[in-house]
Amino acid sequence: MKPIYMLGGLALVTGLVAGCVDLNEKLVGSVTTQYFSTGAGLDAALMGDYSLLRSFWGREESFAVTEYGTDIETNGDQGGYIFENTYAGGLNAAQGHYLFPWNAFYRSINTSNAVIGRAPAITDMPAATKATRIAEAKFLRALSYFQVVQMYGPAPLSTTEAQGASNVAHRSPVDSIYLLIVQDLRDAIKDLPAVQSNAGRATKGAAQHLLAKVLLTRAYHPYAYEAASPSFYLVDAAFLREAGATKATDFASAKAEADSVIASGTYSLMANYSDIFCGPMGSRGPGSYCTVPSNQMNAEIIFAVQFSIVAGQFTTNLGNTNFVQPLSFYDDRQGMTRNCWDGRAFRRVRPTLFARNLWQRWTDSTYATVLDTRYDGTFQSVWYANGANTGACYATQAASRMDGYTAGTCLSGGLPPFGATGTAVPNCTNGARFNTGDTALFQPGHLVGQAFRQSVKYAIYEPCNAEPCPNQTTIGQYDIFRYPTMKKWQDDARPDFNNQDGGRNAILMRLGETYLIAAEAALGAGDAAGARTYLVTLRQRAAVGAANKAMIVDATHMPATVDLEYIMDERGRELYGEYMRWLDLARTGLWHRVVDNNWQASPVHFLTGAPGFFNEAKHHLRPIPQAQIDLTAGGVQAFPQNPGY
Amino acid sequence: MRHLILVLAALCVGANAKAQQNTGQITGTVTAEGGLPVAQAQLSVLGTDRTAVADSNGRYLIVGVPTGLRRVQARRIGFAAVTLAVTVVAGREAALDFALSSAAVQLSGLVVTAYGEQERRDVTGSIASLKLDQLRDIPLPNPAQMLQARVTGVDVVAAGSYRPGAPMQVRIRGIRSMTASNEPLYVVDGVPIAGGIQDFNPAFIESIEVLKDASATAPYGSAGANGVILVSTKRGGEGGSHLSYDVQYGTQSALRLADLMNGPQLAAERIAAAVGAARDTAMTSVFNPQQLPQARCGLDAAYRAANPGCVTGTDWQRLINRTGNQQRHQLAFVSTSGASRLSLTGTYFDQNGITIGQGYKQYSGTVSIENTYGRLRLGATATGSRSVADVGGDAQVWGEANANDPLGLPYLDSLGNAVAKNCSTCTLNLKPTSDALRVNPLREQQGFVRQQTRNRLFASLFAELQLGRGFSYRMNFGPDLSNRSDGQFQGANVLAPTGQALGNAQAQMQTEEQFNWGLDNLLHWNLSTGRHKVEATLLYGISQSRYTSSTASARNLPYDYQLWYNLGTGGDPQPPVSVYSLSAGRSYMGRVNYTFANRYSFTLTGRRDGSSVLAPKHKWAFFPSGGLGWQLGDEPFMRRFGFISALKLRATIGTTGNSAINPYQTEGSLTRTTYSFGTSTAAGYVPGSIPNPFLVWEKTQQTDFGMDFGFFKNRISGTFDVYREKTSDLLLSRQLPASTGFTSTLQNIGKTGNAGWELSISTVNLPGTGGGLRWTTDLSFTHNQNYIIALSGGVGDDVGNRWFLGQPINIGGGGGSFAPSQGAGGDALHNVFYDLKFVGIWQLADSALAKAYGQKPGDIRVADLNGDGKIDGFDRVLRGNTYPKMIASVFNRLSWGRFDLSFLFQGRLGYTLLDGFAAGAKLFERYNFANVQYWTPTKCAGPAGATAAQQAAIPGCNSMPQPSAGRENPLYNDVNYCVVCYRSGSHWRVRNITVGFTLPERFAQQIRGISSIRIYAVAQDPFVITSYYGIDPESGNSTTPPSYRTLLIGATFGF
Repeated sequence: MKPIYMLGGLALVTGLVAGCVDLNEKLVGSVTTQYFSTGAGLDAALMGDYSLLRSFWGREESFAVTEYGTDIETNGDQGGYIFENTYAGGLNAAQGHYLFPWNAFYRSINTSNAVIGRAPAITDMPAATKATRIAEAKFLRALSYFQVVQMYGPAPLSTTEAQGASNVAHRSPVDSIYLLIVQDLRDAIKDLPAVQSNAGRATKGAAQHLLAKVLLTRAYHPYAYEAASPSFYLVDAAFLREAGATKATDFASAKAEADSVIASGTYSLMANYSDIFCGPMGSRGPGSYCTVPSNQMNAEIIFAVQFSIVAGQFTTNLGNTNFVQPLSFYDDRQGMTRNCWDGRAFRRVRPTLFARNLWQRWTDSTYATVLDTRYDGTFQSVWYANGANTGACYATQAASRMDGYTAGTCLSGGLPPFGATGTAVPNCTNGARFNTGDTALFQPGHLVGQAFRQSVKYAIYEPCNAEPCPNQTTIGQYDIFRYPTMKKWQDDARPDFNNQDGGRNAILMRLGETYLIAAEAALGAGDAAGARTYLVTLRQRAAVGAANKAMIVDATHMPATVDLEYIMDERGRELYGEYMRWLDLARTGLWHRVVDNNWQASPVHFLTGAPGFFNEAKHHLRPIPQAQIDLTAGGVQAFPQNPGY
Repeated sequence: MRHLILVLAALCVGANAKAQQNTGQITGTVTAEGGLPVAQAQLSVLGTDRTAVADSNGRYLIVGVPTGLRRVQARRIGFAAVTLAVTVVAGREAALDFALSSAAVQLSGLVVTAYGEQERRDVTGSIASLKLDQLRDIPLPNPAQMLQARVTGVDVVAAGSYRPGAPMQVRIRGIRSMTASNEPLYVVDGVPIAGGIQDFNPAFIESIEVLKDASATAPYGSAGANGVILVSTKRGGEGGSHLSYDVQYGTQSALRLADLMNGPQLAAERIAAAVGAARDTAMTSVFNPQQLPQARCGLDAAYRAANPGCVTGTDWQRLINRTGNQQRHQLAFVSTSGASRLSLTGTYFDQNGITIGQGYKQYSGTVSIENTYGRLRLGATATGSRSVADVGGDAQVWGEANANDPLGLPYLDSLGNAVAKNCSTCTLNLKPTSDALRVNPLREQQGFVRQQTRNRLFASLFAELQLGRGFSYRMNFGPDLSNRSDGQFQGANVLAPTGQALGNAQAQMQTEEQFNWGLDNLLHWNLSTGRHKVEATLLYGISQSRYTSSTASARNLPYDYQLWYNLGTGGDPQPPVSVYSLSAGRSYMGRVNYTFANRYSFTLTGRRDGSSVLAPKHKWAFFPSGGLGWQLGDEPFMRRFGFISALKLRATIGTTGNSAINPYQTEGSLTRTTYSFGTSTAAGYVPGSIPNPFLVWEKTQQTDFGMDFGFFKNRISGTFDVYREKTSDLLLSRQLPASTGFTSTLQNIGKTGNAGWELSISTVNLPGTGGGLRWTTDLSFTHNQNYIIALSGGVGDDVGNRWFLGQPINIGGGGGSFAPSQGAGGDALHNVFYDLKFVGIWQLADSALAKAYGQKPGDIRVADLNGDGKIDGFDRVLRGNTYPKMIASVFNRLSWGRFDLSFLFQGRLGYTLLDGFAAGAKLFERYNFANVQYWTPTKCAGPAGATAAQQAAIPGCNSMPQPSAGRENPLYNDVNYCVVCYRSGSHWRVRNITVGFTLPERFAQQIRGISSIRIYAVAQDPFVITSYYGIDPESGNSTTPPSYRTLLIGATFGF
């Protein structure tokens, strides 16, 4: 063979192989954004949009930025974010707690923009379905923008899907953002059904409830503030206001929207307050938990971020973790080990002294009758001895006997029945050991006295009733370790007791709050008597028995004329721990309540040892994340920081 | 196929037979100084296709040489080539002996270059060669370690972990790309190997060349943008058959452990933390029952007196640390017969590492064959390897040991009491303290099982055909197939230390397959007439890379010992994941080397590359380069400088490109999401990345000026290079303001530069003539500075990405994810540190000022640089970067008779590291911490009326804040800042000491069947000199297994 043939042969081989090498890419393992322009893709994009709710709600950040540092909640002993309660130096623009929500909200906004922008061109979807999907996306966009504008003030505003990378951003006036939110919600109300076939999708009622709250919030917002500082807006300082909207019309419209939800008949108040929060664990015994089984989407819920522990329905580390935040320390006490029922106590958040005194829990000095059941619906009072934990949450707790308790103070006797169900608390009857199920810890909620303490074998924690309360005591008083533990979000349907991936829904809107919005709007519109009516309904729901229903609204227990401060008190009683308090204070501007009632946050007590740094002028807004400013072209000149940060 | 080759061979032989009537033969011997034969020398009759290879006795025979006066060249890597003339008479045998001299390799001799070999004298580019004796003497498990501290411009460090089998990171002349790869290209026997050479058997390597500048790497185009490492394998060799066996055994121990608090130190810190948080400071309040006896034993003299033999705590690091050992066996068989060569090696390597639960085993075999059938030469080197790495808990276990409470005790005796020492009836104390999340690291080690196995089969195959008239054609084919599986198992009570199983064991199994191949067609042309020497090369190449992986995982496994082998039984199976990607490239290249008068050399290269990963319309790019070489020392006017034995100047300029980014980035992708509506699944998609239809090649323009010199008859020789590189259209993953809905995207942004110089000097201090002591020294210095020249859009610094003009590129890019990295601390994810300026601790006398900043005495104080009364982003300054300003090494080798000794020092100087031990949040009451001095109000009050300066001067009062129980993140040492964490990383280390002895043959041969024995001992990484108190400033961090020293002995037996 001549070399030239061999050469030709090899070249032929090369040519054949080269034919297989294609420089054009074909994406196999994933889909491109083109998918969103199909009907199925649009559905998927909207579900993706819902899933982004989980990247804020249910995470530690969501609890910290909405509940910490208020008049009713202060810090426990644990946690790296105590500065968020004390408003100390750590509350700054570099804090991940403000970057995190910011990123989550804007990612969600961009996804909503993609759905809203691409939907009109889609042909393979029924028109009615398409209208509903657009309305849902608008609801979600409004929800994100509302959160942004309340936390950060003026913020970037975009209604189009991002196409190509850009580092240009600027802050748009609050008015412009509210205009978009209100428009979105009005559009959504028009197209959303009253009930969706999928639980957890946005409904007409949810959009109305949200609009009521948006309008109520905007009503407090001083329009003049925007125009007074035009230098804040370097680009497009267009102060777009809703035509004809004033403070008065906003209050009136807010009330009308809330009334519409109440009157719709779609939702109803649960008869028992504690039943609103029945998680998947169902009943967990007397005095502690609700009495109905899994009740995640009960009649009172209007909108809740959905969580699950079913494989394929959750992502590791993106479960609802907030059940751990407000739990008090129990697992180092005699008879107790950490377990699923009592939870993994992060000891981050506890009620202030002011908050503990908000509820009119008992009608007389014997504490025999419960008037306002919301205290027991909110806080756990009893911990039962569980011995050596057997691990799996669903497993039957083994009846192991507890060793080691040999104190001679265990006598017969116990406590009078208490709690919503009126069941007696099991207690020690004869001797030296805890049996599984015995009361091991008890927080009566009031002083019981030395004699009683010595008559029982379980540990008792009594309130400290004057600030400064000690940080740590060994005499059975509330301190930063042990305090009323909020049980509303308790979640034992997890793989193990250390797991933070909870599966309970995060309730964002419920009818109880609709009443409070209506009351606040009525008051703002000048109708204090009308406002009182809504509160009476809620208070009477909280009372058990006809006599109590009358008593809880009588002259001794409720003022004849309610004011905004009273509504804030009532919101505290009704909505403690429900991702709202900081925003309530921001909305109403009643920041003096932080100074007056949160000893740890109040700068008034600085010289007596409390490290509080609260400063209304600065802290009424959260800092713009440093990363946003750093990454924006032009830096802080183009994207100014909020005052004081 | 075999038949075809035989037919081809027969045809070729037939063709030769006809020609034989006018041919003769040449035979002779090739020797080196002292008359030792030079095996494997290559002989070629210039101007013809006649070649031969010398056998182990240096003898060769060239047949079929056309008659007439012929010039024959003898070449061997590491020796200067010699060309002699001989007259060939038809049918007769001419005799021709060669005496080669071993060259200072940087000056002359034969070097491997891109797609060929070249006389060192003619090379214009910057090529560093690793000397044969350096490779031979020091047996190392990883080929990358062979380069460590031995070649200028090459920086080799552990890639983040020191566990056995962990890969090394190799960088040539710094980094130039942030997103695209900075990995050099590896070429084995002329065939590019996409998967790297970590599975390659070091003992099988004949030589290593590092191509550094544009002219040298240009033939590889984009693939060679980060430098090229050419590996030549040993191919056959000494005539007949030869068998050798090499065995080594060594022990390993941690080079350093971190200086953490012990029991009494931590107990004191806990009490200080209670003071800081205004809590009860009684020991019964501060310590839980498990800690109390140890705390009392440490702090309370009365307790100690009453309880003789009490223990103060546990050193968890030492519990999981052990003396490791490694062994290595290698069997090599080589056979040469005429024009065909064959070699086989098999290696077994076993290292169990210094961390309990870890280990690494590697089995590899290489077969190399080469045969010549007349004009056709065929060769193949194929390596199959299998490695099994037991990774165990690795970083988690070390993280646990570093964080765990030293007041806890590791074992329980038969009565259930915690004890410090293990005993026959003892059990593990699963949860040493009441902290529900702190588990005994020994349990962690048992409960984490992770095994990574890797099978790899790669080969370099070539066919070379002599076409006559100086033309030859060569085809290279390099298939590389690897399979990797990674099984991970986490026992039920690893993270939930309850003492009882939770029934929540989980496991994961990932399998990956990667298949890369490259096919090159090369046409060479050689012409050497008179004073002209021309070589030309044309190339057409294609390549493809395909990757697939799949992952299955499950929770709630019913029993532990199944590990990841029966995931279907898991009560809670997780959704499976699978991944696919494909990328391809196509290239054309042309190169001309021209040398005139053996003094002036020119190289011109052009390459056109196409890559599938780039945007449509931007897939192709052209990369030209050129080089000049001038043997200044050979000019007549230089002869007056008698001390100059060689002097060569080089200059090159060229452009290379880089497209080594992941495929599919030009298209906007979507990210799958999970959600539920009530109890039903609601999976969807959200935008994952922004479409980027404008991605183009990243291009680097390089200029290099070099000088190779030899003085005093090459007793002193060396190389000096200065270079400058400018990379434009840099491919960067750029962070975006989150208000766009995205946090990052990949773009061509800006320009960066690298500038540096490299100097290597070799001296022959004692020549060792006449069997005396020979002592040589190699010094090398590398300086490289990376800097940003411009960023897109003309904006100045990009603070968010840590990109500052004139500063190195930050390739960390932290913060791109939605979750801030908990506990990472400040700029931990970056290479360029930009943070607040630490000025000390707020002192008691500063109370009022501290309050203005929202702080109190005992807190970390940072400078308010712009004096605006608050601390914010404007108060940040550059706090250093992780790139060393200088890497220096000193290698000494002494040989005397049958003894040899070498030692290697290395310094990495002038860089900053982020101290992972001081990072984050640990001066509270939960985690152990570095043994630091911290502020306390009693210690730091000073005398009455003390000023802040006086208080700060009290030892320990101005470096770390006051511990405070419950405060997980002290301000400015939290998850966003780490102002107290920046340390100098400069260090010197002894890299290697080797001593060897070759037994006299008369002793060796007394053992039947054995012809030679060499024994040696090696100390690898025995010492490091540094001011850093952590593990190893090279790359050790808080949660990696420590670096280790290896002491080993070995022997090589020839049969």
